[in-house]
Parts: sequence; structure tokens; C-alpha cells
Amino acid sequence: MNRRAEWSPVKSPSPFKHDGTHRIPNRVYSDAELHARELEAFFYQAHWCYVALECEIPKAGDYKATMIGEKPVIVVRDRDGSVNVLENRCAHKGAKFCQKEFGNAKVFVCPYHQWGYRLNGDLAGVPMKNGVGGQGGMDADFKLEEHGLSKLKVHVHNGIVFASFDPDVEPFESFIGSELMPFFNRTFDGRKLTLLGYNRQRIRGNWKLMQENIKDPYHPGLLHVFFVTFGLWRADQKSELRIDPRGRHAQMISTRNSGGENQEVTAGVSSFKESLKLEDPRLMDVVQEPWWGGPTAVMQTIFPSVIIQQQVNSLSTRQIIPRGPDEFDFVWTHFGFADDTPEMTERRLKQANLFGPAGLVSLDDGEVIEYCQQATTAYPDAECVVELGGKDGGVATPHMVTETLIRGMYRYYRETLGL
Amino acid sequence: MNLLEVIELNARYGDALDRFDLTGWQALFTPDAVYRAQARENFDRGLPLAAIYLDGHAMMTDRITGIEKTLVFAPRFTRHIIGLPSIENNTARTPFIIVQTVTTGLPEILATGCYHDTLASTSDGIRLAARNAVYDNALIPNSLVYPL
Ligand code: FES
Ligand SMILES: [Fe+2]
Repeated sequence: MNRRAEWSPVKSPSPFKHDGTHRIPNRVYSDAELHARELEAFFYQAHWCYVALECEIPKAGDYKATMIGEKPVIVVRDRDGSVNVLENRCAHKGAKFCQKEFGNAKVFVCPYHQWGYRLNGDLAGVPMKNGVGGQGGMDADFKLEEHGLSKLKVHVHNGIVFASFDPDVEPFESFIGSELMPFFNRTFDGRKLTLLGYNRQRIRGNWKLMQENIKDPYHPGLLHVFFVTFGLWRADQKSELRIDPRGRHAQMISTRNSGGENQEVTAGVSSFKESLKLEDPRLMDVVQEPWWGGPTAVMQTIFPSVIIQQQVNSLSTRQIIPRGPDEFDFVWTHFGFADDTPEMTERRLKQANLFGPAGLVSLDDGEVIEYCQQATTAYPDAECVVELGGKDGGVATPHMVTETLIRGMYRYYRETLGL
Repeated sequence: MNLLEVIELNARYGDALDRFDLTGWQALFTPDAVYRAQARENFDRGLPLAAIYLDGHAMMTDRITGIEKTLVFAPRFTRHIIGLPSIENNTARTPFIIVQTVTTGLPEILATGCYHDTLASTSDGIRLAARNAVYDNALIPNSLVYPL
């Protein structure tokens, strides 16, 4: 079956009023029909979506319930050590049978009528299949093999797990692409990861606004007063933007304390408060790690489902789980490496104060995303202007003074949705 | 620890936060106290990550500066409803509900959970030597600005 033929690319007219993507129609943040098409085209077809880190499910039978788009799935470690991703949907009557977020199981048993599934999704048994006292039961042609849990395609890449509903999805390496693979592998190079914990927030904004936020190097030096004030970010620090040829994924790569003393960066910027310094420097006690090889921050947007963060010693994946056009859950999984010293773990945990729902930096992002949602929804026919750095459709750039990565994402968006 | 003293400490704690008196909040901790606001899923599974992790008064001061001078957030009120403590020697567990009202919106529950405390007697009365505000709701409605 060719799943890609299931939806037709053009339904209602395109909300885009111009060529290019330097203008974004506000409607893309609130339109229910567009949202349904995005889920289908981006989360359910042709893309690898983030589901887990391997260190979350180390032992056979360990499982994690999560979401791809708006569909519940289970990530489970099989007996042979491989990782399976299964729909969290009972093949009998559609119950979301696994209600626990994490656990360990030998088999999955749906509580409703106790259909039992193996860790690979195969249906192992059905109560009363052969009837009771010669009465009832399934017909003779009922085959267990035909009623297992639907199984997704899985790719485990050096400790990070992606899955796809699409059996024809391209290989993972070409999905990430040769431009981005080096920095992707810089974090995930095969070292064993350790799980530090989770932060979860529900943001009342469209999911794409979070992708855009991490493709936007315009805002950090302006919005994030904490960053600027304590000297953690300068718009002229040494930096580079990478983008895959289709425009969907990107990396913002930067090195702190490497900038010039460019007065334009702070002059007239109202958010800059020169006088402040940290009372407790341990909050940002940065220690260079050998694997960085230079850059101190690499922020990766892997479209559509995840952001991978390295901000100095703080590492996390940030999973995007849409909930309709105007809301998404944002799940942060903080991690370190198995060979971290206790001091390094402590440092990662302290620096985590900058991130998550309470983050001295990230809190600002969640707030302004809600502000964007509030007014773009109210004015669906207006448009956003994304012209810093020109009107190109997303190009690699040796500086941060540009919105090119957002234009790249919408180039991919228009192409893929046929808008 | 005396029940009434612990109740009074908690009353002052909630009152200080709900009046945005963050220095008053800080003063209820011993100088080297550790404050955490941690999701219950992390606490229960022994995972160390906390949404807020402040180690001593100086780090609390940095958080206060962050809230008062650098963070960008929609104006809001909070209301700490703190239950009765269950005390054992110098530790206490106390349930809480924190309701938040953001600008012109309706009130919503920001967090509900349990304070896990270590208490210390000082010449100024009892103080928090450690408080972990363990919140049951894994999901935070967007932002956690003020300490729980
Ligand atoms: S719905 Fe799962 S066994 Fe019936
Ligand atoms: Fe940001």
C-alpha cells in the first residue's frame, strides 16, 4: 500500500500570499485542517520521530510509553536487546492498554479482555478463543498472527531511538543528512548515556513555534536577558548555522567568549543590564569537555519531533508532542555520560536551572510562544515577517544575524504540503 | 520539632511567596540550605534532575535576580495552600496546592504535591535546612516562575 497517496496534497487554497517564505501566514499556527495535514505528512509519514534514549530502557522488558505526533506508542527493550516501538492500541477494541509511563513487562496484557502480546507486538493469546464448554469462541479462521500490535520502523543511533510509522521512510542517515551528521554524532558518538531525569511542560502554542524558536538566533541576545546580562551569549560570538538541503533540520553552533567587543551588540539593547554578576558562580561553572572540539553550544532541530540541546555542560533532548493546532507538550530528558565524574553530574544538574519550565533562560521561550499563539490566532489573515538576513529560502550561514533557518523550514513545509 | 512552629514557618513561607517577597522567602532557609522543586516522577525513580535546584543563599539570590530583573513572563498571582505537616524528629512532610492566576485568565492549579523538609532550630526560630517541593503533576502549565 502506498501510504503517501492517502491524502491529496491540495485541499483548501494555500494561506501563503507570496513566493518564498519570508512571510509566514498566521493561519499556519491555528488552522485545524492544516494541522491534520501536518500530522499526516510530518509525524506519520516519511519522517523519523524521536521516541527515547536507550538508557531509559536498559533491561529486557523495560518499556516507556510516549507519543509520536498525537498517537500513543510504546518503546520496549526486547529479550535479544533490540528495541521495538509498538502502537499503544490494543488490536481488539482499541484500548490504550499501557497506562504506565515506564515499567518492565514480560508480556503486555490489555486489561479489557486480556489479549496478551509479546514484547515484539505478536499476539500470544486471546482468552476464550476456542469457546467455553463448546460455545462461542473465535471462528476457526481467526489467526493470532493477524492481530498483533502494529509495529513501527525503528532506528537506534548510538543511544538515541527514532521510529517511523512509514515503512518506506528513507534511511536514518540520509534523513539527518551529511551536513548535519557530524554534529549529531558529536553528542551521540556511541558513549553510554546516563539518564538524569525529566521536565515536562504544556505550552499553549502551535508546535511549529518551538521548532522556529530553536531556529532563531535573532532572539537569544534580546529576549534572554539572563544570558546577556551574565555574559553567556553575544550575537557576535563565533558561530555557524547549518541546515540540511531540504531546509527541515538545522544546527546553531556557537562558541562563547569568542566574540569581538562589537558595541552594536549591546548598544541600545534595552535588555542589557551591565551591572549584574552571579552571586554563586557554580550556577554556570562551565568546564570544557574534550568531546566539544571547540563549540560550547550546539542546538539541533530535528524536524518535526525533537530538539537536541548542548548548552555548555547541560545536555537534553526536548520532544515536541502536538495536541491540536494550539497546544503541545514539551518533554525534556536530561542526560549525561556513563563516565561522568560526580562533579560533572552535579554541574549538569546545576546548569539545568537555565532550562525547562523553570529555566532562567528557557522559561522566556515558553512565554513568548504563548504570546505569539494569542495574537496569530486572533489575526489569522495577517502574516509574520521573517526577513532578517534577507529573503533566501534557508542557507548555511557563518553568523547568527539571520532568520534563514525559519525560512528554510517553511520552504520544506510549503513543498511537502503542496502549499 | 514543635507542630505549631512548623505550621507557622509554612504559613510565613506561603505568605512571602504570594506577596512576591522573595528575600523574605529566602530568609526562611538556613544559609547553606538546598531548595529543590522536583517532579515526582524524578523523585520516585531516584533521578536527580530538579526543575529548580538552588544550593545555598547565594544561588537563591541569583534566582531572585533572575525573576525580578531578567525573566520575561506574563504577570501572575500565586496562592500557596499548605496543609498540615507530618513531623518526625527534624524532618517533615507537608502537602501543598499552588493555584496560579495569569493576568486576566482563570485560576489554574500550578502544582500539587508534598514538601519534603529537613528542619533546623536556630536562634531566630526554626528554619528550612532543606526543602524539596515534590510536585505530583509531571506537566507544568508552561512556566514555573516563582519557587513552589
Ligand atoms: S480492548 Fe484490549 S483486549 Fe479487548
Ligand atoms: Fe530561546
